[in-house]
Amino acid sequence: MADPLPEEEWSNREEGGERDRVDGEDEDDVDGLASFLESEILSGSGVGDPLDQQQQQEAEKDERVEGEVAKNKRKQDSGSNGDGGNGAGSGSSSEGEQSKRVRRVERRAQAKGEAVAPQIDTGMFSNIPPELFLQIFKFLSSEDLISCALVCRFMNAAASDETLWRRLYCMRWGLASNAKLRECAWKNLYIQRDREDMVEFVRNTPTEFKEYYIQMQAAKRSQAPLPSEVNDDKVILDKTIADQVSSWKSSRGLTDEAVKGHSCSGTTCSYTQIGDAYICEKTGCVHVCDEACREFILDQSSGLLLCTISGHCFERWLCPEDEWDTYDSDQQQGGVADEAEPFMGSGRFARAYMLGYNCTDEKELEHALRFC
Amino acid sequence: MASAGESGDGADGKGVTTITIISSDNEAFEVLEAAASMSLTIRHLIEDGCADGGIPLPNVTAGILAKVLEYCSKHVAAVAASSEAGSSSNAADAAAAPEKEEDLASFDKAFIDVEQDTLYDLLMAANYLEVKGLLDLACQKVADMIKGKTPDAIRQTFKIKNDFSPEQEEKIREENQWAFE
Repeated sequence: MADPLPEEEWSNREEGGERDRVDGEDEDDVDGLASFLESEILSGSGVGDPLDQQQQQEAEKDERVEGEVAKNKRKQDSGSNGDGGNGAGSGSSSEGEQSKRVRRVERRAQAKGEAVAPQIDTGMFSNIPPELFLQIFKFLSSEDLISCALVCRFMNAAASDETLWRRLYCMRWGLASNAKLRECAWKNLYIQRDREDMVEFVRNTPTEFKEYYIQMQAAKRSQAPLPSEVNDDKVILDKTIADQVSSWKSSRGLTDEAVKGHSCSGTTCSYTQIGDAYICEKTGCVHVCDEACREFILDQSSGLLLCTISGHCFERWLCPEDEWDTYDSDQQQGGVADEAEPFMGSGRFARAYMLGYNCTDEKELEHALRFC
Repeated sequence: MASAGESGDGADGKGVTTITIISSDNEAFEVLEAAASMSLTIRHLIEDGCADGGIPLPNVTAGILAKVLEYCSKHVAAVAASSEAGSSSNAADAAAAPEKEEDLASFDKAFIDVEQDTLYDLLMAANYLEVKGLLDLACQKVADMIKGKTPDAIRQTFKIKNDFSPEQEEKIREENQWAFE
């Protein structure tokens, strides 16, 4: 029906650009992308709301400054990753990823800020923060999410969240090993595929069964995630990682059954990392930490969003100009270190971060992290 | 400072320490440390040594705090019992485990069957205190209230105003037509 959102196309091309450069200069990356975006916009790419266009332009303005942001985060990131931490080799690719994460979260924050009222004004939901809405919506089926999307503007934004739709998509169809899929608009993908499925069914079934099959198909839309699926991300892993996770789990004697009385949290559990997946060592529960990560909390002193499980940091632009004015790289590093680190906990990454933080050079860092 | 409220290693010799928690309206609740630790927020405060003289919670009123602590106490007892049953070779104990699970499930169901206002307060408190189990329970309950409803019904239930303009509404309805075919 509608053309793919300009955003979707843009993000796909972004991926292509990133992959081509392995050890590239990241400043050039950002600049190259920025000018590409400019040309896209000026050539009047796509249909779409004036709102979408506005978002793109604002996002593009901020792209230029993100190169520096990404650089500053590299120090933190290599510290908290705890694997030898030499910034040169792994740094640039993780930096590239960090930039991607930054852009993605920023776009989303802007989408919420500009297109909708910040909160619902009336009734029970008037003080519930957006993150909490995600917690509620993760229990809903696709059908219910759509109903919610029609209620009001705020709920529309919240119900269109990509992680929700990604989970629903993977539950219903599994994740193809095509890596490109990971970067698209999951909601659209879901709707599209559902439509295709429906068309196929209608075409291929004998007439007397048509209505029955249509009902069966429609019922799939009202399938809500199970309680076990709601907190465990393993359903969205692609095949290669999923296999690795399974073998890791069986080597530890962990089954797929939920462990009673245990709530995973970045502050109380230790995790093993396989690719983007972080596995709780006690229960085998998986958290996938990529740019769609929602397990973050807001670190008050630095204004950063911090994933409590992986230690990854995300920027959050509530008001782009203001944030940029007060942005201070010292504050950022100092802020996170000054906290008693309640959210770093006892995980391996947290320990590595603590050990590595005060090292003066690579050699010391490597030495310190030997035991991690 | 010398109160039983100190966090410790079973200081009173019975291996059972209690913590005092103070609501926003200055009511004090004494609970097992293990139960209070189901709230990650409280757990961190205990670990940071702030538990002396009781932990004040300026965001939570007595009524809601009582409920939250009731939830925590019940669940921590259940976890303790199930780990005992798990390691016990007593057949009767092991057989009782699924029943206890059912007990817990029906406790949860009755526990969360409250008025919208209370549900909302529980939701916010569980979020603030980081009690994951209770948060999921409350969220699931709210989700259940949304399930199967039309947008209008949702608005009515939660008293939400429709702030779409007629054009926006039309556009969104079109985009999402598939769901209602």
